[in-house]
Amino acid sequence: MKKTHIALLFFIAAGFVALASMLGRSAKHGGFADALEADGRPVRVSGVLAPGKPVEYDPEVDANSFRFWMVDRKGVESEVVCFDDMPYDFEKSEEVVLTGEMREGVFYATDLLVKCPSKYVEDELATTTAQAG
Amino acid sequence: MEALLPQAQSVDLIFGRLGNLFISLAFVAAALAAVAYFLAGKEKNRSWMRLGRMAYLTHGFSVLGIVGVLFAIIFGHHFEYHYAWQHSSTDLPLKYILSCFWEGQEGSFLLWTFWHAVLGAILIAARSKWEARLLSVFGLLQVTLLSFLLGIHAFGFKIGNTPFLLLSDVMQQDPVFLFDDYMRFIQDGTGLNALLQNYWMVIHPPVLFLGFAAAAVPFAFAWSALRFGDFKSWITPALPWALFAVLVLGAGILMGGRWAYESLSFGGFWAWDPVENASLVPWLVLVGGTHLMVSWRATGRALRSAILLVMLAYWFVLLSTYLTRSGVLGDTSVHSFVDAGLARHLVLFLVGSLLFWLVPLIRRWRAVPAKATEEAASSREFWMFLGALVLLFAALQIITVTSIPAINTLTGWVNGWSGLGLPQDIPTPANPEAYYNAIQLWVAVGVGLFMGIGQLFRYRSSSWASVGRQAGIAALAALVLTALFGKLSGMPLMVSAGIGQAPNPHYLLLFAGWFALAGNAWYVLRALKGRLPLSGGSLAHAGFGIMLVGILISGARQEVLSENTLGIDYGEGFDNQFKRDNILLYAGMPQPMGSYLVTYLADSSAGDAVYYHVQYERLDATGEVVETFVLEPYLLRDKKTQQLSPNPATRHYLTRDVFTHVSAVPNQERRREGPKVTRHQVFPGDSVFFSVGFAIVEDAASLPPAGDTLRAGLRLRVFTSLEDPGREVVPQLRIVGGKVFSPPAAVEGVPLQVAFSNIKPEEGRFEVTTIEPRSANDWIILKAIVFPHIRLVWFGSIVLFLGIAISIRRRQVLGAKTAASGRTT
Repeated sequence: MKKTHIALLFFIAAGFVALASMLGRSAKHGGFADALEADGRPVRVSGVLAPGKPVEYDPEVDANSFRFWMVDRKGVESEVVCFDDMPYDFEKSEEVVLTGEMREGVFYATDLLVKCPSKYVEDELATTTAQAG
Repeated sequence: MEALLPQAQSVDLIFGRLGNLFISLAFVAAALAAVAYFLAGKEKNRSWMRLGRMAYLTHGFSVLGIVGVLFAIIFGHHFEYHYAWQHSSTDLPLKYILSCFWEGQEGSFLLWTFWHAVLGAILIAARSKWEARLLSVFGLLQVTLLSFLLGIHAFGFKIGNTPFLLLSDVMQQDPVFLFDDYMRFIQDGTGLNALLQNYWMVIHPPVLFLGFAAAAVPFAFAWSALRFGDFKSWITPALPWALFAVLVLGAGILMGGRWAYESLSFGGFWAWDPVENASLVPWLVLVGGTHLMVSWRATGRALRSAILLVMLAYWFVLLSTYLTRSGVLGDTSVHSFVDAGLARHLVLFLVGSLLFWLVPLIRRWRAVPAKATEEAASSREFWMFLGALVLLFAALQIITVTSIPAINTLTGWVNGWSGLGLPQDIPTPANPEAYYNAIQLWVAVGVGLFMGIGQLFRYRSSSWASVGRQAGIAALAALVLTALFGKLSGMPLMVSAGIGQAPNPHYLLLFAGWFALAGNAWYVLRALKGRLPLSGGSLAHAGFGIMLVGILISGARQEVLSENTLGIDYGEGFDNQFKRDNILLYAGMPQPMGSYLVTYLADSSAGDAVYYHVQYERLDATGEVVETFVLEPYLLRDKKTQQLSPNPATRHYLTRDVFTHVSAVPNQERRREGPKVTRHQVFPGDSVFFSVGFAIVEDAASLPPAGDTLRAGLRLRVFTSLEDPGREVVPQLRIVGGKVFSPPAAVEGVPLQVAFSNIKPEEGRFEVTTIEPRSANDWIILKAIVFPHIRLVWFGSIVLFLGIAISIRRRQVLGAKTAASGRTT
């Protein structure tokens, strides 16, 4: 066996270790129901802001967290406390992807990704309406 | 009244017709060039050659035509064209109008096509014997790229999107188009994404795409080597091109990092975002491939691997295009383009391009010459090969994890079609940054060590004693620097690792970086005697070593200045894993933050941007102000989405950067709310809490009456943090004719008024009322991070690129010599 082959085998083994360690640290994709059963493992939940419920962010009380209600893709609604910066105009987001865990009926998110009305696709024409005298 | 209506712009159809004509012409001419050049290469026929050349030049001019027309549309504010309307507006400064060109998918494809056309023309002008072979590949690449701009429907497929669609074609449903002179309603475009309004975004995309296009040159060389069975002679002429691609692509990636650092607020220059990974991966593979090419020139080894890596690198460029443009990354990236209906076209492109190089490679693998003997362990080529393997490993690890969403889509698709139960729900890392860092840290250690030691070996075989002695000296120097830097930056020797403590692996990387620098400095001084033309490789390695040190220290030792120091108890069982790195600043109220006293002074606006002026005062140990400066982070409102995007401001020092951005401002609706009034029943010695601090009630005293007004004062001390020395305030209670008045007293420097509102003498109890104003722009939430030694990253990269540039020159000279001597190897 050549030395380079041994090196190749070493890197293949290292590759498997790297992938395995990823699976150990990965967040399962799911809904709030899965988060209830996840037992402390982080879960990634996608959904939309619950219509009609407020987004509470009062920096005078706590500048580092905010809370809101979200409906996941299976229609389950849950209260969410998020410890990330609140994105600007968060209320306008189309879709929210959270990573975190469920504790006592509240989902604590440590990571938040917001899909906003796309930067690249326009579907509405904002015309300059002329002021007809 | 008709006269008051804005003047309607005319709809200039000529641009679109001309643009689409150029696209068709460029497409057809590229196809013709590919075929003619291919036949010219195969049959060594002059007339095919002439035809190919003419077709390619026609193609090149047509591409220039497309670019020119699109520029004319954007510069001329022809908003009747969807591209101009969607990506630009009249108020943009000239430099950002350039960015509008490549904000959209079509424009960035066009930019890429443009560079291919230019590089192809340079290859033609070089008049080398490679012209026919290379240009046939380029012609084919241009056909595939231009197909993304065709914008036609055929065989139930949508083939590409043309940038020359009229607004009225895209938005047919809008009633405004019922008017013949609808342009009078459309006076402006929707503008450029606020995030892209940064000078790095003017220069980063063209450089990056030039890098992508340049990687096609060695690819074309390697492909034609396989196709024509001429396996060896391509390396010498291809080497300067491969190095050029490494230089330009590397610079492009780094400019992207610089843009992220200066205009995105995630705090740092690299976030392992799929879009970033997608450009890093081809670079890593190409760097590996270039090393193998160099190794082949010296020893005749590693030819097969060199061909494989050079072709794989370019295919990764195409894979990146697919990943970032098809929308397949979905949930894992915020930066990627959304699906523009090209997904199937892109898949076809990806699979087709893979077969294009993989099939000839497999068929010809055995025919590519390889030495039967094994290289010596003490040979430079052996260590270069291992180094290339490390880079390939890094690239494969990154691209595999980045592609997980695509793999899930693919397996889901295969499952639906075949009924196989392939896994289609492979999870992605919960914290990608930490995950990639944890793995790539070890890769970087390997890269640093290989870079330090590689050049100390000679080709074929070297004396272990000599290598050991030189490496020992370099290691000693690196050890001293590591200890010094580790100590200076306060890097902990041990870190917690599950149970107990483990040595901090960051020290290993710090050592590897310094070792790369020391080993190569030694090599340049001793072996090369400082001869600059020969030192390209060593200089590049040394620069990369410096970068590794800078990346490590600025990343691992970055310090959040804006830690929440008020010690508010958040309750609900929060542990300290949660981020606590924003602070609230009231206008005019200084807050301690690390060694600084920070004051939010005021805001000001300019165009769509609102600037927040934040004063920093640096205090020494005795509390004296030694330095004062004002940073102006700002928020930019995007014309299209009305989203605010924060732009940081940074104070640069020689050894560190202080990086600041605004992470929240008051909601404009709160302006209408009245002040927050709270009554507190207190005894002397009690504390009264308000939003940003607390007050301690000291004592009450009756004051001498003024006329017939009875007066009493209550002394309070107001603190905004535990370190605050406190401010005294004495609100008064006045009794006039049996009526009680309590005028509120303002507290200096704190948005608070305090009133002494009642007194219960029999209980010794008092009532204090706190009044806190709630107005719109009186506070900001700020995040501040210190990046130590980030300059090493930028400085190291300059050395790296300088080294590569010297290598390009060196390889050109060697290539010219080889050509002159008529040797084929």
